[in-house]
Amino acid sequence: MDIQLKRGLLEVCVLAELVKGDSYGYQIVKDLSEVVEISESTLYPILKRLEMSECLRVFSVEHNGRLRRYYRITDAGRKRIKEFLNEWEEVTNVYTFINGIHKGEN
Amino acid sequence: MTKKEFLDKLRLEIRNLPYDEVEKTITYYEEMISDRVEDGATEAEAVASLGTPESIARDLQAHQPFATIIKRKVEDYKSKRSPESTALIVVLLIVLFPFWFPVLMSALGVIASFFAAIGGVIIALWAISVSIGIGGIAMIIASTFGFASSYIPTGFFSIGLGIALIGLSIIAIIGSLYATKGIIKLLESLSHTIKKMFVRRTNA
Repeated sequence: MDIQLKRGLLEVCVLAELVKGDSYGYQIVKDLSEVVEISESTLYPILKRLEMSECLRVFSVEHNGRLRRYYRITDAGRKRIKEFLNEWEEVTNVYTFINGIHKGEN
Repeated sequence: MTKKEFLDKLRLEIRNLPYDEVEKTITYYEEMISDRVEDGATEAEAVASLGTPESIARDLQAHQPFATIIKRKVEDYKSKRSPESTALIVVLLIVLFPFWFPVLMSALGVIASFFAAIGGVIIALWAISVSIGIGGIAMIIASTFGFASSYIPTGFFSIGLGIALIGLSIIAIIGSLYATKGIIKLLESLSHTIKKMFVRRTNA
């Protein structure tokens, strides 16, 4: 998959995951791994970008004598998901169109 | 690799990033290792699953703006050089001055003469066109002397030649105008091509 496209998709995946509730890095990777290929190292820059664009907020919670960073989705983050879904409705239409012609040719 | 070894190595690899960026990154990976260990992995397994510090550092650098990357590359280069080797480079530059200076100068000279040659062509074209016109005007003026001194055929000959020369000059000026425009366009596309080559190279 195109790397730029995948990055964008992963950003929305992370946001969607956070709609279910606040979460932390490792948990996000574990949950998303069932849907899409993602590692801790791919997640890190995504979290950073989402934090910069204020789509999520970071806070620390004590856990087993250490601090764990939790992520919470913001209103901007929810808006981002909606925008994505609207955009992809268009993409899906285009896909159906292309696929229909492609199938008709064979 | 143990957790400490991994984090130390990572810190070393990303030392060129801004300070708070380094701390954030280390905190993040520390947390990831701890969480994996809590989930039942051994420390070595947890570390191994994250990829090498080198590849992580490379990814992080790649996400930085292009200008920052260049700056960092230069700083990295500087920091990797020991003071002795920097001194060596300076000494070499000075000692080898008679060798690289003429090369640099002749390269600049070639570029300068290229532009001078093109400029020369343009100036020559205009000079020829205009001087033909001036010649024509002079001929017409000369014809009045012919008429005045009653050399009538010479007078007519001069007027005819003068008008012909002015006509030729007008055609030549139009030609020069097109030639100048063409040359400028050529130079523009040339510089565009060079720029494009450079941009492609830096994007790679």
